[in-house]
Amino acid sequence: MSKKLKKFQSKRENDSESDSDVYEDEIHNRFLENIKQSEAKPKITPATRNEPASEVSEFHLQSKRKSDKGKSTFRKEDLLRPLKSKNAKLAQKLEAVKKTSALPKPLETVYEKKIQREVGYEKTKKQLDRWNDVVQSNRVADQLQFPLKNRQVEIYDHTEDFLFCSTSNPTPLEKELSAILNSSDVAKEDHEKMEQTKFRTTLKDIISKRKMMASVRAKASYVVSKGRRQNKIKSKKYHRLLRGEKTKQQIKDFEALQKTDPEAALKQLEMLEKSRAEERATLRHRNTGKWARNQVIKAKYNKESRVALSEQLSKNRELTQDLKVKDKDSDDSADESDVTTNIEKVQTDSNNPWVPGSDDFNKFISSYKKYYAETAPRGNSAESASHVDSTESVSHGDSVEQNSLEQLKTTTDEGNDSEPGEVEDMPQHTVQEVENSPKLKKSKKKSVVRGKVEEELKTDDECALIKEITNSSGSWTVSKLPAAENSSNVKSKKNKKSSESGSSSNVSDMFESLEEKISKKLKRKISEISEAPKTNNVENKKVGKKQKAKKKKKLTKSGQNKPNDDQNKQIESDKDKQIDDQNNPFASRSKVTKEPCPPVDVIADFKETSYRNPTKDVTDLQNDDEDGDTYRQMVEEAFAADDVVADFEQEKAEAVDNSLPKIVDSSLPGWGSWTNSAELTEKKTKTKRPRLNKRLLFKVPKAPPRKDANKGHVIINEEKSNKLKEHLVSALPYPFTRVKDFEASIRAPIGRTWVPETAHRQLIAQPVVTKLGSVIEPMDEGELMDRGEL
Amino acid sequence: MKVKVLTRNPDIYLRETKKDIHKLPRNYDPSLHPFEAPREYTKALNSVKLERVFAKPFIGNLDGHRDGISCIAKQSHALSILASGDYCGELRVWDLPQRKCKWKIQAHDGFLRGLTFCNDNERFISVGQDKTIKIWSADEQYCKVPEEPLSVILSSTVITGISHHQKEPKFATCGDVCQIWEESRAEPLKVMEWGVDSLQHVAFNPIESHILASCASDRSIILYDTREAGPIRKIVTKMRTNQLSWNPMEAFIFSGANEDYNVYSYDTRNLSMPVNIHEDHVSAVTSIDYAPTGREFVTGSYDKSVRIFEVHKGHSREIYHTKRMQHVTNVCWTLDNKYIVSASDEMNIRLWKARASEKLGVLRPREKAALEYADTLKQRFAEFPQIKRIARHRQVPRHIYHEQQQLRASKQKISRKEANRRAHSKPGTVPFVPARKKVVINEAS
Repeated sequence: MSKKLKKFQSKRENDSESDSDVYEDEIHNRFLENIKQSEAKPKITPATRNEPASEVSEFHLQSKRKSDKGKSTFRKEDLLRPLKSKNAKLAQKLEAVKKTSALPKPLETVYEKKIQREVGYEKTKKQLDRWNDVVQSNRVADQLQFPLKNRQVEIYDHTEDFLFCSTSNPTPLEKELSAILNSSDVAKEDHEKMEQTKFRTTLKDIISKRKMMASVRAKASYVVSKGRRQNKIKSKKYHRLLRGEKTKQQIKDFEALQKTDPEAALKQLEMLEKSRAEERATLRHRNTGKWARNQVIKAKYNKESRVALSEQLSKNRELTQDLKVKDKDSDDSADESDVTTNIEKVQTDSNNPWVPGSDDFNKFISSYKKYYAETAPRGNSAESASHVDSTESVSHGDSVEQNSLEQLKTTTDEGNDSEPGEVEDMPQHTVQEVENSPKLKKSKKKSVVRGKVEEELKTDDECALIKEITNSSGSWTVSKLPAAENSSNVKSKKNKKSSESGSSSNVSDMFESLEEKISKKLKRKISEISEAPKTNNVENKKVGKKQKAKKKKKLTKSGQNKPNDDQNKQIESDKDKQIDDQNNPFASRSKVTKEPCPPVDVIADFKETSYRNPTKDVTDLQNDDEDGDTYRQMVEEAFAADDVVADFEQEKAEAVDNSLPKIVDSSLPGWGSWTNSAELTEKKTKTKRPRLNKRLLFKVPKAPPRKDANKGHVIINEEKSNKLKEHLVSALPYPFTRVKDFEASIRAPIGRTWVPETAHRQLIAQPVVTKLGSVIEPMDEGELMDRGEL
Repeated sequence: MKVKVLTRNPDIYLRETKKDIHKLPRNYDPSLHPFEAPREYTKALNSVKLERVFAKPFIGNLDGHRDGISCIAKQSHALSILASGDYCGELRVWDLPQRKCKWKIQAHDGFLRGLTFCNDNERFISVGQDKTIKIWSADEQYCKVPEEPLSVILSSTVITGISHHQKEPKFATCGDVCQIWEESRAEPLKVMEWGVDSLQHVAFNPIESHILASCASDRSIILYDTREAGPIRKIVTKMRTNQLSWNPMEAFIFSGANEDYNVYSYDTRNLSMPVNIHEDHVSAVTSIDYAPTGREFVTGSYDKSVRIFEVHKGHSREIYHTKRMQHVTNVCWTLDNKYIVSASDEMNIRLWKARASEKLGVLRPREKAALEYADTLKQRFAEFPQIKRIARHRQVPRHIYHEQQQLRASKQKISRKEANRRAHSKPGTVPFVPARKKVVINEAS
């Protein structure tokens, strides 16, 4: 049943289809045609762009060229056909192209984009890597100044506003004028040129600049090395020739200059004068140089060196000849009287260390003196020491001069003490004097030498010689020696002779005046000392027993036994010292005065040409300044009531007490004192000191001796300070690897109190410097080096 | 009673004329100055104390907005003008030296999203919630209120951020996609997208000005090359980056203000981990701006404070806060490296000194030298405990203080837990991972 039904149904359907097919097709076609005809214009037009857009929709794209049948309107062959006949090669190539297989299918968009991104990132990385050097150098730079100065040089074209550069607000007329001028062809061309040229520093420029600098440096070093080589040439002949050439050349030049430009020549002459003056001002051509000292050593055996030395000295004399500066002697009699009165006023307080009468003060002064006395012969008159040590002949001269001084001294002694007997055994006495003086520490050796000298002198008829030399202002020249007298040193002899004949009387006058002054000073000093109640033991200690004995002997010889022996000694020693102090500067100066002159000049000479003698300074310190005295007096007045020393001692005692370890009592109240009521009442009635239980006392071990135990003048606090601990660094800060380095870095100061100003400025330079009110632009391409042009 | 007085002769120490400059003779022999180091230490201590005494960074505020401030913009080559926009679409132009509002205008309907000045300083551009980009003229020294913008560009989607090219008249916007625009055209020059639906901030690199970075809401930072490739790299971090800023002196360094209270500095060439982590904020960091020197940057945070960080250091050198300042929405560092501007939710723009104790105005040479000396001394003795303590001490608001303590505790807890796990497991199974390596989750190309 069902089959039949199905068959029937299907058959019917087929029938209806077949029937209706033809009919419906026709209708449909007609319908379509009707529609086609009705659509004269297509309703949906392809999209047209009227706005420039970067994105074009894919849905609007269509290929109009293709016909409905799927054939393109043109064929490739049609286009290529004419080529085949005309260009065979090209045709062949085309054939080859045809044979190649088709390209693979493009990647999917996701992967394609991923690859694009990867490539883009790599490119960007490379682009950014260019900045590495600049960034790195900026990061490590000690100082950066913002805004950054670009390596690119900007050239300001001021042609536009050259007219109104004076005013900031140009008038309309000015504007018009400049506009007209700028519109000219010439101006435009210039402007274009300026724009075209870029002034950016390139690597090439920098490298070439470096090369140039290197070559310049190399050339300079060649010159230097050549000079060194030439300097090392020892040949005297070579140097003589060189010098000769030079002088010749100079003379030639000068003559030429005289002819051509007399003014310049005059100037040069002036220059010469000036250089001579400068040389005079220096200490050249004296006996202090290396060469001169060598000559001095040789002088004993070598005549020539003696001659050379004397020549040298004569040259020095020549150079130092015309100094005519007058200077007053600082020690005026009026001053002295003032000072003495001042000193008399001073009330000596043994406890105050700054009062001159006190022990401490004396010690201080004496130690100062000692120090300078030691340094003086070492530092300044090395030549004299060498004379004494090595050469007899030279030391002869020196000692002669020394003797003259001693003689002088004795005369002053006479003036003071009126001891007539001393003149007779003069040489002996001088030796003593020398020994007594604290200045000569190594005096034993020296005195031995000197003693020899003296003996020699004794044997000869030298007393006269001494006198003679003292008259001639004690110049030490080799020519004065008996041995040298025979030699051919005529020049110096002449000098000496002339000097002797010329102004011996003047010099002696001068000496007399000096003596007077010295004696005055001495008097003052002695009075000062005699007032002081305490004797200065330090001085006496220094003087050996032997010397004491000698002195006693001397005193007995002179036949003057003073009652107060101690005081006498003290005075004596002080006096000696004083005399030495007074004389030493003179002694050293006297070496300088070689040319006999009128007295005032000579004094001036002393002042100007002598090198400073420190012993003189000490005496200054000690007495001769009025200011110093008044100051001291002032200080004394100010601190008269302050008993500094006692205060200090008390303070120290307290500090010591506090630092002593205390006995710890570990007994507890009530414990260990069990008692009956009677005792309690007893306790109540009497204020009894509780008994200490020895077992409960903790005895602290004895502390080691204090550091300041033997130092009377200081308190050393040995306790650790917790307050300080707060300020100390506990860990090593970052960039440092060793504690030592960190400490060193902290220790090096940067303040202008401790380092020079320029260094200070460099040390405090700030890492970032900005300019007030200026815009800091981001970094620019101009910062990069142009590597392309290499 | 006897009064003892030490007197000096004024001729010795007084100058006759102003131009008499005494040369002070000095002896630099170190043996004469046994206490130079202690003396300098005392000086350093005093100067660091004085620094804290003079640390008064707040200069003033610019008030006038009637809603929270959403964005501010500084001029690109000038100093005096600042533009700001608020949540209700009002735009204001401020004169910074006078601290006055030059003019205001209702620029957008609702939420002004972004502001930027053009590179010639003659126009500025604003974008808003109303899907428009408006270009405003800044003629006549900003004195005249413009009746209408120079041009309005309608966008199909909401634009959330804008950044102008350093040299060319181009700007970039972000929203659904990142677009590059030319000022004179109404259609974007280029549209760059990488499968994210919202970007909230975009920033041009000021040095290599064809590079662009933007941060997206899917916690990613995307780099673009505007010339050909389009997007080039993307990193995904643990939490969202709110804003980013390029270092104006180092072309490849940028820093991102992150939601996880930290700021991360990245090297563009190696994005797998940040070069530095700057932490101190106790809430989400909302904004960041570099100093023009490229040595420091300033951040504003949701924790109602502004902090200044040094580029190479992990912690801030300074915190600024006031009682009334609410969540900071924007900060910028002025181009003369002197001032900081912060905008916050409570409708105020605040002006701060970049260095809290700096003396403003022109300094005399000696004064300058003295200050420089003091600075150097502070540097030298920076590690000494007292100096370090005084220099570091800051009074912070209570909420920040407590939050800091909590954060510290939570960090300690994490590290303790990790240490415990390491101690009780097979050696090597719990490796040490540096904090910097944990930041970037994924780097995609």
